[in-house]
Amino acid sequence: MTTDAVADRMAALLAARPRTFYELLRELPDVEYRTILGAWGALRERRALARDDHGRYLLRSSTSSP
Amino acid sequence: MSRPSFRDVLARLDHDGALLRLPKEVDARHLSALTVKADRPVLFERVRGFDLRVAGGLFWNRKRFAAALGWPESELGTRFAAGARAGIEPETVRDAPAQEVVQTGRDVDLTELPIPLLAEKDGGPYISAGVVIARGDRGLNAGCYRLMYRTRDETGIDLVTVSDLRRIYEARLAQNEPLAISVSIGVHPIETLAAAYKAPPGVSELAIAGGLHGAPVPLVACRTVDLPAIADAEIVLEGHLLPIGWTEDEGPFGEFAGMYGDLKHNPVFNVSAITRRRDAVFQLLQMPWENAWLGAAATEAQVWNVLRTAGVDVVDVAVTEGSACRWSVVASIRKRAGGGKNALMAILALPDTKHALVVDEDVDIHDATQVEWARTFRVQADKDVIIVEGAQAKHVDPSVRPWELAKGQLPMTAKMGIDATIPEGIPPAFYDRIRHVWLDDVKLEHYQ
Repeated sequence: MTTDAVADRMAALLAARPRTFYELLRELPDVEYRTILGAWGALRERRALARDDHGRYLLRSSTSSP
Repeated sequence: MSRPSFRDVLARLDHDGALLRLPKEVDARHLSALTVKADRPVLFERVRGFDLRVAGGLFWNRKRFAAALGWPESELGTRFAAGARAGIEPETVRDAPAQEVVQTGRDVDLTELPIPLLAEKDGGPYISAGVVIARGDRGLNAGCYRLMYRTRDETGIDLVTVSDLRRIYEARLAQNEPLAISVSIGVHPIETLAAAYKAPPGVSELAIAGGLHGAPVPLVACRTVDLPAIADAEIVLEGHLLPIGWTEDEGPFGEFAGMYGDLKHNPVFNVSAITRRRDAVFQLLQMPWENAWLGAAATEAQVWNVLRTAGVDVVDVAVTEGSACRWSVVASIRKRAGGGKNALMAILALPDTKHALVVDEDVDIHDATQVEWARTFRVQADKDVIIVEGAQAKHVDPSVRPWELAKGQLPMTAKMGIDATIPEGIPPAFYDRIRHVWLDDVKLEHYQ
Protein backbone atom coordinates (compact mmCIF):
# COMPACT_ATOMS: atom_id res chain seq x y z
CA MET A 1 0.00 0.00 0.00
CA THR A 2 1.49 3.38 -0.99
CA THR A 3 1.96 6.22 1.46
CA ASP A 4 -0.43 8.40 -0.55
CA ALA A 5 -3.13 5.73 -0.39
CA VAL A 6 -2.67 5.45 3.38
CA ALA A 7 -2.70 9.22 3.69
CA ASP A 8 -6.04 9.21 1.86
CA ARG A 9 -7.39 6.61 4.30
CA MET A 10 -6.20 8.75 7.21
CA ALA A 11 -7.86 11.80 5.68
CA ALA A 12 -11.14 9.92 5.32
CA LEU A 13 -11.02 8.79 8.96
CA LEU A 14 -10.32 12.33 10.15
CA ALA A 15 -13.08 13.71 7.95
CA ALA A 16 -15.51 11.43 9.80
CA ARG A 17 -14.58 12.69 13.26
CA PRO A 18 -11.61 14.10 15.22
CA ARG A 19 -9.16 11.45 16.41
CA THR A 20 -5.93 11.20 18.35
CA PHE A 21 -2.94 9.78 16.52
CA TYR A 22 -3.40 6.60 18.57
CA GLU A 23 -7.05 6.25 17.52
CA LEU A 24 -5.97 6.70 13.92
CA LEU A 25 -3.28 4.08 14.31
CA ARG A 26 -5.77 1.61 15.75
CA GLU A 27 -7.92 2.04 12.64
CA LEU A 28 -5.02 1.02 10.39
CA PRO A 29 -3.84 -2.34 11.76
CA ASP A 30 -3.01 -3.64 8.28
CA VAL A 31 -0.51 -0.88 7.52
CA GLU A 32 3.20 -1.15 8.32
CA TYR A 33 4.26 1.38 10.96
CA ARG A 34 6.88 2.90 8.69
CA THR A 35 4.25 3.47 6.01
CA ILE A 36 2.12 5.15 8.68
CA LEU A 37 4.99 7.56 9.39
CA GLY A 38 5.34 8.32 5.70
CA ALA A 39 1.61 8.82 5.20
CA TRP A 40 1.37 11.06 8.24
CA GLY A 41 4.19 13.17 6.84
CA ALA A 42 2.41 13.35 3.49
CA LEU A 43 -0.76 14.52 5.20
CA ARG A 44 1.22 17.20 7.05
CA GLU A 45 2.79 18.34 3.81
CA ARG A 46 -0.67 18.75 2.30
CA ARG A 47 -1.32 21.18 5.20
CA ALA A 48 -4.39 19.04 5.75
CA LEU A 49 -4.37 18.79 9.54
CA ALA A 50 -6.02 20.92 12.21
CA ARG A 51 -6.70 20.31 15.90
CA ASP A 52 -9.75 20.54 18.13
CA ASP A 53 -9.79 21.84 21.70
CA HIS A 54 -8.71 18.43 23.05
CA GLY A 55 -5.67 18.24 20.80
CA ARG A 56 -7.29 15.66 18.51
CA TYR A 57 -6.62 15.86 14.80
CA LEU A 58 -9.25 16.77 12.28
CA LEU A 59 -9.20 17.57 8.61
CA ARG A 60 -9.17 21.14 7.43
CA SER A 61 -12.44 21.63 5.59
CA SER A 62 -10.82 22.93 2.39
CA THR A 63 -8.52 19.90 1.99
CA SER A 64 -9.06 16.95 -0.28
CA SER A 65 -6.77 14.19 -1.49
CA PRO A 66 -4.35 15.17 -4.30
CA MET B 1 37.86 7.25 23.24
CA SER B 2 38.49 6.83 26.90
CA ARG B 3 34.98 6.72 28.26
CA PRO B 4 32.24 4.22 27.48
CA SER B 5 29.56 4.85 24.87
CA PHE B 6 25.83 4.06 24.93
CA ARG B 7 26.41 0.64 23.41
CA ASP B 8 29.17 -0.06 25.94
CA VAL B 9 26.55 0.55 28.65
CA LEU B 10 24.17 -1.86 26.93
CA ALA B 11 26.95 -4.46 26.71
CA ARG B 12 27.75 -4.06 30.42
CA LEU B 13 24.10 -4.40 31.40
CA ASP B 14 23.82 -7.46 29.15
CA HIS B 15 26.92 -9.00 30.75
CA ASP B 16 25.40 -8.39 34.20
CA GLY B 17 22.08 -10.01 33.23
CA ALA B 18 20.38 -6.62 33.55
CA LEU B 19 19.28 -6.26 29.90
CA LEU B 20 16.36 -8.06 28.28
CA ARG B 21 17.30 -8.88 24.68
CA LEU B 22 14.30 -9.56 22.46
CA PRO B 23 15.43 -11.27 19.25
CA LYS B 24 11.88 -11.82 17.95
CA GLU B 25 10.60 -9.25 15.45
CA VAL B 26 8.31 -6.63 17.03
CA ASP B 27 5.88 -4.13 15.53
CA ALA B 28 7.05 -0.58 16.31
CA ARG B 29 3.51 0.10 17.55
CA HIS B 30 4.30 -2.12 20.53
CA LEU B 31 7.67 -0.67 21.57
CA SER B 32 6.13 1.54 24.25
CA ALA B 33 3.98 -1.14 25.88
CA LEU B 34 6.73 -3.77 25.84
CA THR B 35 9.18 -1.34 27.39
CA VAL B 36 6.73 -0.62 30.21
CA LYS B 37 6.00 -4.30 30.82
CA ALA B 38 9.64 -5.41 30.92
CA ASP B 39 11.31 -5.88 34.29
CA ARG B 40 14.63 -4.70 32.88
CA PRO B 41 15.86 -2.35 30.16
CA VAL B 42 15.04 -3.84 26.77
CA LEU B 43 16.99 -4.20 23.55
CA PHE B 44 14.65 -4.85 20.61
CA GLU B 45 16.89 -6.57 18.10
CA ARG B 46 14.44 -6.63 15.17
CA VAL B 47 11.77 -4.02 14.52
CA ARG B 48 9.51 -4.74 11.54
CA GLY B 49 10.18 -2.45 8.60
CA PHE B 50 13.25 -0.83 10.17
CA ASP B 51 16.98 -1.59 9.99
CA LEU B 52 17.72 -0.12 13.41
CA ARG B 53 17.54 -1.76 16.82
CA VAL B 54 15.78 -0.01 19.70
CA ALA B 55 16.74 0.19 23.38
CA GLY B 56 14.48 1.56 26.11
CA GLY B 57 13.71 1.58 29.80
CA LEU B 58 17.27 2.23 31.01
CA PHE B 59 16.20 4.88 33.55
CA TRP B 60 12.80 3.45 34.60
CA ASN B 61 13.52 3.34 38.34
CA ARG B 62 16.26 4.21 40.78
CA LYS B 63 17.94 0.82 40.50
CA ARG B 64 18.02 0.84 36.70
CA PHE B 65 19.09 4.48 36.52
CA ALA B 66 22.00 3.85 38.90
CA ALA B 67 22.97 0.69 36.99
CA ALA B 68 22.95 2.57 33.68
CA LEU B 69 25.19 5.26 35.16
CA GLY B 70 27.39 2.65 36.84
CA TRP B 71 26.91 4.36 40.21
CA PRO B 72 25.70 3.00 43.59
CA GLU B 73 22.01 3.78 44.11
CA SER B 74 22.67 5.70 47.31
CA GLU B 75 25.24 8.01 45.71
CA LEU B 76 23.26 9.66 42.90
CA GLY B 77 23.29 13.08 44.54
CA THR B 78 26.80 13.04 45.97
CA ARG B 79 28.39 11.69 42.78
CA PHE B 80 26.55 14.23 40.67
CA ALA B 81 27.67 17.10 42.92
CA ALA B 82 31.32 15.97 42.93
CA GLY B 83 31.43 15.32 39.18
CA ALA B 84 29.72 18.58 38.34
CA ARG B 85 32.27 20.48 40.42
CA ALA B 86 35.15 18.77 38.61
CA GLY B 87 34.11 19.86 35.11
CA ILE B 88 36.16 18.62 32.13
CA GLU B 89 35.73 20.40 28.81
CA PRO B 90 34.82 18.26 25.77
CA GLU B 91 37.40 17.37 23.12
CA THR B 92 37.00 17.43 19.35
CA VAL B 93 37.76 14.29 17.38
CA ARG B 94 37.93 13.75 13.62
CA ASP B 95 36.68 10.21 13.15
CA ALA B 96 33.27 9.57 14.59
CA PRO B 97 31.22 6.37 14.76
CA ALA B 98 28.18 8.64 14.65
CA GLN B 99 29.08 9.48 11.05
CA GLU B 100 29.56 5.99 9.60
CA VAL B 101 26.40 6.65 7.56
CA VAL B 102 25.65 10.18 6.35
CA GLN B 103 22.40 11.21 4.67
CA THR B 104 21.84 14.79 3.59
CA GLY B 105 19.45 16.77 1.43
CA ARG B 106 16.74 14.68 -0.24
CA ASP B 107 18.15 11.52 1.36
CA VAL B 108 17.05 12.73 4.79
CA ASP B 109 14.18 10.51 5.87
CA LEU B 110 13.07 10.38 9.49
CA THR B 111 10.77 7.47 8.67
CA GLU B 112 13.92 5.32 8.67
CA LEU B 113 13.96 5.76 12.45
CA PRO B 114 11.52 3.64 14.49
CA ILE B 115 10.10 6.71 16.24
CA PRO B 116 7.52 5.31 18.65
CA LEU B 117 4.13 6.54 19.79
CA LEU B 118 4.50 6.48 23.58
CA ALA B 119 1.13 7.37 25.17
CA GLU B 120 -2.50 7.28 24.05
CA LYS B 121 -3.12 11.04 23.90
CA ASP B 122 0.31 12.01 22.52
CA GLY B 123 0.13 14.25 19.47
CA GLY B 124 2.25 11.79 17.47
CA PRO B 125 5.40 9.69 17.59
CA TYR B 126 8.17 11.26 19.66
CA ILE B 127 11.95 11.23 19.73
CA SER B 128 12.37 11.47 23.50
CA ALA B 129 16.07 10.74 24.09
CA GLY B 130 17.87 13.45 22.13
CA VAL B 131 20.64 15.64 23.53
CA VAL B 132 20.22 18.95 21.73
CA ILE B 133 23.33 21.09 21.26
CA ALA B 134 23.16 24.74 20.22
CA ARG B 135 25.61 27.63 20.30
CA GLY B 136 24.70 30.68 22.35
CA ASP B 137 26.60 33.78 23.39
CA ARG B 138 28.05 31.83 26.35
CA GLY B 139 29.26 28.90 24.26
CA LEU B 140 27.76 25.48 23.62
CA ASN B 141 24.54 24.60 25.38
CA ALA B 142 23.22 21.06 25.75
CA GLY B 143 19.70 20.14 26.81
CA CYS B 144 17.05 17.45 26.51
CA TYR B 145 14.03 18.35 24.41
CA ARG B 146 11.27 16.22 22.99
CA LEU B 147 10.81 16.13 19.22
CA MET B 148 7.42 15.30 17.70
CA TYR B 149 7.58 13.63 14.29
CA ARG B 150 5.94 15.75 11.57
CA THR B 151 7.34 14.80 8.16
CA ARG B 152 10.36 12.97 6.74
CA ASP B 153 12.51 16.04 7.44
CA GLU B 154 10.65 17.94 10.15
CA THR B 155 9.82 17.60 13.83
CA GLY B 156 8.22 19.85 16.38
CA ILE B 157 10.25 20.81 19.47
CA ASP B 158 8.88 21.90 22.84
CA LEU B 159 10.32 25.30 23.68
CA VAL B 160 7.45 26.64 25.78
CA THR B 161 9.22 26.36 29.14
CA VAL B 162 11.94 28.85 30.00
CA SER B 163 15.31 27.32 29.07
CA ASP B 164 18.71 28.24 27.70
CA LEU B 165 17.72 26.91 24.27
CA ARG B 166 14.59 29.03 24.30
CA ARG B 167 16.66 32.12 25.13
CA ILE B 168 19.14 31.36 22.35
CA TYR B 169 16.29 30.73 19.88
CA GLU B 170 14.56 33.99 20.86
CA ALA B 171 17.74 35.92 20.08
CA ARG B 172 17.93 34.36 16.60
CA LEU B 173 14.22 34.80 16.03
CA ALA B 174 14.54 38.51 16.78
CA GLN B 175 16.88 38.70 13.77
CA ASN B 176 14.58 36.45 11.72
CA GLU B 177 17.36 33.87 11.44
CA PRO B 178 17.20 30.10 11.95
CA LEU B 179 19.08 28.48 14.82
CA ALA B 180 21.38 25.55 14.06
CA ILE B 181 21.09 22.57 16.40
CA SER B 182 22.38 19.01 16.54
CA VAL B 183 20.51 16.19 18.26
CA SER B 184 22.54 13.25 19.53
CA ILE B 185 20.43 10.14 20.16
CA GLY B 186 21.79 7.11 22.02
CA VAL B 187 24.55 8.65 24.13
CA HIS B 188 26.04 7.58 27.46
CA PRO B 189 23.49 8.09 30.29
CA ILE B 190 25.87 10.56 31.97
CA GLU B 191 25.58 12.84 28.94
CA THR B 192 21.78 12.63 29.01
CA LEU B 193 21.84 13.31 32.76
CA ALA B 194 24.09 16.36 32.37
CA ALA B 195 22.02 17.72 29.48
CA ALA B 196 18.82 17.36 31.53
CA TYR B 197 20.42 19.43 34.32
CA LYS B 198 19.69 23.14 34.31
CA ALA B 199 23.28 24.27 34.72
CA PRO B 200 23.96 27.75 36.13
CA PRO B 201 24.65 30.46 33.53
CA GLY B 202 28.09 30.07 32.02
CA VAL B 203 28.47 26.44 33.10
CA SER B 204 28.65 23.95 30.24
CA GLU B 205 26.54 20.81 30.54
CA LEU B 206 29.09 19.03 28.33
CA ALA B 207 31.86 19.96 30.79
CA ILE B 208 29.69 18.65 33.63
CA ALA B 209 29.33 15.40 31.71
CA GLY B 210 33.10 15.28 31.36
CA GLY B 211 33.48 15.83 35.09
CA LEU B 212 31.03 13.05 35.82
CA HIS B 213 32.91 10.70 33.46
CA GLY B 214 36.36 11.81 34.59
CA ALA B 215 37.15 12.13 30.87
CA PRO B 216 36.18 14.57 28.13
CA VAL B 217 33.07 13.99 26.03
CA PRO B 218 34.21 13.50 22.41
CA LEU B 219 32.57 15.84 19.92
CA VAL B 220 32.68 15.81 16.13
CA ALA B 221 31.88 18.58 13.66
CA CYS B 222 28.47 18.18 12.03
CA ARG B 223 28.29 17.84 8.25
CA THR B 224 25.66 20.46 7.44
CA VAL B 225 25.67 22.91 10.35
CA ASP B 226 28.46 24.75 12.16
CA LEU B 227 28.06 22.81 15.40
CA PRO B 228 29.37 19.67 17.05
CA ALA B 229 27.51 16.52 18.02
CA ILE B 230 28.51 13.71 20.37
CA ALA B 231 30.97 11.68 18.32
CA ASP B 232 29.98 8.21 19.47
CA ALA B 233 26.23 8.78 19.53
CA GLU B 234 24.16 6.13 17.81
CA ILE B 235 22.30 8.67 15.65
CA VAL B 236 22.67 12.41 15.06
CA LEU B 237 20.12 14.78 13.53
CA GLU B 238 21.43 18.08 12.19
CA GLY B 239 19.43 21.08 11.11
CA HIS B 240 17.79 24.35 12.06
CA LEU B 241 14.96 25.61 14.21
CA LEU B 242 13.01 27.70 11.74
CA PRO B 243 12.44 31.37 12.60
CA ILE B 244 8.67 30.98 12.80
CA GLY B 245 8.23 31.32 16.56
CA TRP B 246 5.55 29.51 18.49
CA THR B 247 3.22 28.83 15.57
CA GLU B 248 2.95 25.10 14.85
CA ASP B 249 0.89 22.55 16.80
CA GLU B 250 2.87 20.28 19.14
CA GLY B 251 1.70 17.88 21.84
CA PRO B 252 -0.22 16.82 23.83
CA PHE B 253 2.49 14.73 25.46
CA GLY B 254 2.52 12.38 28.45
CA GLU B 255 5.05 14.22 30.58
CA PHE B 256 7.44 13.50 33.44
CA ALA B 257 4.82 14.13 36.13
CA GLY B 258 2.71 11.25 34.79
CA MET B 259 0.02 13.48 33.24
CA TYR B 260 -0.53 14.95 29.82
CA GLY B 261 0.72 18.38 28.90
CA ASP B 262 -1.67 20.37 26.69
CA LEU B 263 -1.61 20.92 22.97
CA LYS B 264 0.97 23.68 22.49
CA HIS B 265 2.29 25.83 19.72
CA ASN B 266 6.00 25.56 19.13
CA PRO B 267 8.77 26.06 16.56
CA VAL B 268 9.72 23.46 13.95
CA PHE B 269 13.06 21.66 13.53
CA ASN B 270 14.04 21.22 9.87
CA VAL B 271 16.48 18.32 9.53
CA SER B 272 19.30 18.79 7.02
CA ALA B 273 21.24 15.60 7.82
CA ILE B 274 20.89 12.28 9.58
CA THR B 275 24.19 10.65 10.49
CA ARG B 276 24.50 7.39 12.37
CA ARG B 277 26.38 4.26 13.13
CA ARG B 278 25.99 1.52 10.54
CA ASP B 279 24.15 -0.71 13.03
CA ALA B 280 22.63 2.09 15.10
CA VAL B 281 20.48 1.60 18.18
CA PHE B 282 17.60 4.06 18.55
CA GLN B 283 17.05 4.99 22.20
CA LEU B 284 13.51 5.26 23.51
CA LEU B 285 13.17 7.32 26.70
CA GLN B 286 9.87 6.19 28.20
CA MET B 287 7.66 8.60 30.09
CA PRO B 288 7.15 9.35 32.88
CA TRP B 289 9.79 7.66 35.01
CA GLU B 290 12.76 7.72 32.65
CA ASN B 291 12.46 11.47 32.36
CA ALA B 292 11.67 11.88 36.05
CA TRP B 293 14.73 9.94 37.20
CA LEU B 294 16.95 12.11 35.00
CA GLY B 295 16.15 14.96 37.39
CA ALA B 296 16.74 12.93 40.53
CA ALA B 297 20.52 13.14 40.83
CA ALA B 298 20.61 16.89 40.35
CA THR B 299 17.78 17.41 42.83
CA GLU B 300 19.48 15.26 45.45
CA ALA B 301 22.74 17.12 44.84
CA GLN B 302 20.93 20.44 45.34
CA VAL B 303 19.44 19.19 48.62
CA TRP B 304 22.83 18.03 49.91
CA ASN B 305 24.30 21.43 49.05
CA VAL B 306 21.53 23.50 50.59
CA LEU B 307 21.50 21.45 53.81
CA ARG B 308 25.26 21.73 54.21
CA THR B 309 25.04 25.46 53.56
CA ALA B 310 22.43 25.65 56.33
CA GLY B 311 24.83 23.91 58.71
CA VAL B 312 22.82 20.70 58.86
CA ASP B 313 24.72 17.45 59.48
CA VAL B 314 23.26 15.43 56.58
CA VAL B 315 23.28 11.63 56.54
CA ASP B 316 21.29 10.79 53.41
CA VAL B 317 18.97 12.38 50.85
CA ALA B 318 16.46 10.80 48.49
CA VAL B 319 13.77 12.07 46.15
CA THR B 320 10.54 10.08 46.02
CA GLU B 321 9.51 8.48 42.75
CA GLY B 322 5.83 9.42 43.02
CA SER B 323 6.76 13.08 43.12
CA ALA B 324 8.36 12.80 39.69
CA CYS B 325 11.69 12.42 41.51
CA ARG B 326 11.98 16.08 42.41
CA TRP B 327 8.95 17.56 44.21
CA SER B 328 9.12 15.52 47.39
CA VAL B 329 12.36 14.95 49.26
CA VAL B 330 13.26 12.84 52.29
CA ALA B 331 16.44 13.57 54.24
CA SER B 332 18.01 11.98 57.28
CA ILE B 333 20.12 14.10 59.58
CA ARG B 334 22.09 14.06 62.81
CA LYS B 335 19.92 16.51 64.67
CA ARG B 336 20.74 19.25 67.09
CA ALA B 337 17.86 20.99 68.89
CA GLY B 338 15.68 22.67 66.26
CA GLY B 339 17.67 21.10 63.45
CA GLY B 340 14.67 19.32 61.95
CA LYS B 341 12.85 22.59 61.26
CA ASN B 342 16.03 24.26 59.97
CA ALA B 343 16.54 21.42 57.54
CA LEU B 344 12.95 21.69 56.32
CA MET B 345 13.25 25.42 55.67
CA ALA B 346 16.45 24.87 53.70
CA ILE B 347 14.96 22.12 51.53
CA LEU B 348 11.72 23.99 50.88
CA ALA B 349 13.69 27.02 49.69
CA LEU B 350 14.59 25.05 46.55
CA PRO B 351 12.32 25.99 43.65
CA ASP B 352 11.11 22.51 42.71
CA THR B 353 10.63 21.04 46.18
CA LYS B 354 6.99 21.06 47.28
CA HIS B 355 7.11 18.59 50.17
CA ALA B 356 9.99 17.74 52.50
CA LEU B 357 10.29 15.14 55.24
CA VAL B 358 13.21 15.04 57.66
CA VAL B 359 14.04 12.03 59.84
CA ASP B 360 16.81 11.02 62.22
CA GLU B 361 19.81 9.02 61.13
CA ASP B 362 18.41 5.76 62.52
CA VAL B 363 15.75 5.72 59.78
CA ASP B 364 16.63 4.22 56.39
CA ILE B 365 15.12 6.74 54.01
CA HIS B 366 15.13 4.21 51.16
CA ASP B 367 12.72 2.02 53.13
CA ALA B 368 9.20 3.47 52.78
CA THR B 369 7.97 1.52 55.81
CA GLN B 370 10.63 3.01 58.07
CA VAL B 371 9.90 6.51 56.81
CA GLU B 372 6.18 6.02 57.45
CA TRP B 373 6.98 4.68 60.94
CA ALA B 374 8.92 7.83 61.75
CA ARG B 375 6.18 10.05 60.32
CA THR B 376 3.58 8.23 62.40
CA PHE B 377 5.34 8.03 65.75
CA ARG B 378 7.61 11.06 65.81
CA VAL B 379 5.19 13.69 64.48
CA GLN B 380 2.54 15.82 66.13
CA ALA B 381 0.82 17.60 63.27
CA ASP B 382 0.20 20.79 65.25
CA LYS B 383 3.88 21.12 66.16
CA ASP B 384 5.91 19.37 63.48
CA VAL B 385 4.28 20.35 60.19
CA ILE B 386 5.18 23.65 58.59
CA ILE B 387 3.28 25.15 55.68
CA VAL B 388 4.56 27.99 53.53
CA GLU B 389 1.93 29.66 51.38
CA GLY B 390 2.46 31.55 48.14
CA ALA B 391 5.68 29.89 47.01
CA GLN B 392 6.90 29.46 43.43
CA ALA B 393 5.13 26.69 41.50
CA LYS B 394 4.91 25.05 38.08
CA HIS B 395 2.03 24.85 35.62
CA VAL B 396 2.33 21.07 35.31
CA ASP B 397 0.80 20.63 38.80
CA PRO B 398 -3.02 20.64 38.35
CA SER B 399 -3.54 21.37 42.05
CA VAL B 400 -2.36 24.97 41.46
CA ARG B 401 -5.27 25.37 39.00
CA PRO B 402 -3.13 26.80 36.19
CA TRP B 403 -6.14 27.22 33.92
CA GLU B 404 -7.45 29.97 36.22
CA LEU B 405 -4.32 32.09 35.73
CA ALA B 406 -4.27 35.14 33.53
CA LYS B 407 -1.95 34.96 30.50
CA GLY B 408 1.62 35.44 31.71
CA GLN B 409 0.67 35.00 35.37
CA LEU B 410 2.84 32.46 37.17
CA PRO B 411 1.32 29.88 39.52
CA MET B 412 2.00 29.70 43.25
CA THR B 413 1.79 26.80 45.63
CA ALA B 414 1.74 25.94 49.33
CA LYS B 415 4.79 23.99 50.46
CA MET B 416 4.79 21.54 53.34
CA GLY B 417 7.54 20.25 55.57
CA ILE B 418 7.22 17.44 58.10
CA ASP B 419 9.73 17.18 60.92
CA ALA B 420 9.73 13.46 61.71
CA THR B 421 12.79 13.60 63.93
CA ILE B 422 12.43 12.65 67.59
CA PRO B 423 10.72 15.67 69.20
CA GLU B 424 12.75 17.75 71.61
CA GLY B 425 12.05 16.67 75.19
CA ILE B 426 11.18 13.04 74.42
CA PRO B 427 13.98 10.71 75.53
CA PRO B 428 15.25 8.64 72.57
CA ALA B 429 14.88 5.51 74.69
CA PHE B 430 11.13 5.64 74.03
CA TYR B 431 11.99 4.84 70.41
CA ASP B 432 14.15 1.79 71.10
CA ARG B 433 13.30 -0.68 68.34
CA ILE B 434 12.51 -4.23 69.30
CA ARG B 435 15.30 -6.62 68.50
CA HIS B 436 14.58 -10.32 68.21
CA VAL B 437 16.54 -12.70 70.36
CA TRP B 438 19.51 -14.73 69.08
CA LEU B 439 19.44 -12.96 65.71
CA ASP B 440 23.22 -13.10 65.37
CA ASP B 441 23.51 -16.69 66.54
CA VAL B 442 20.95 -18.55 64.44
CA LYS B 443 21.21 -19.24 60.71
CA LEU B 444 18.12 -20.32 58.78
CA GLU B 445 20.17 -22.21 56.20
CA HIS B 446 21.30 -24.65 58.89
CA TYR B 447 17.71 -25.89 59.02
CA GLN B 448 16.95 -26.03 55.27
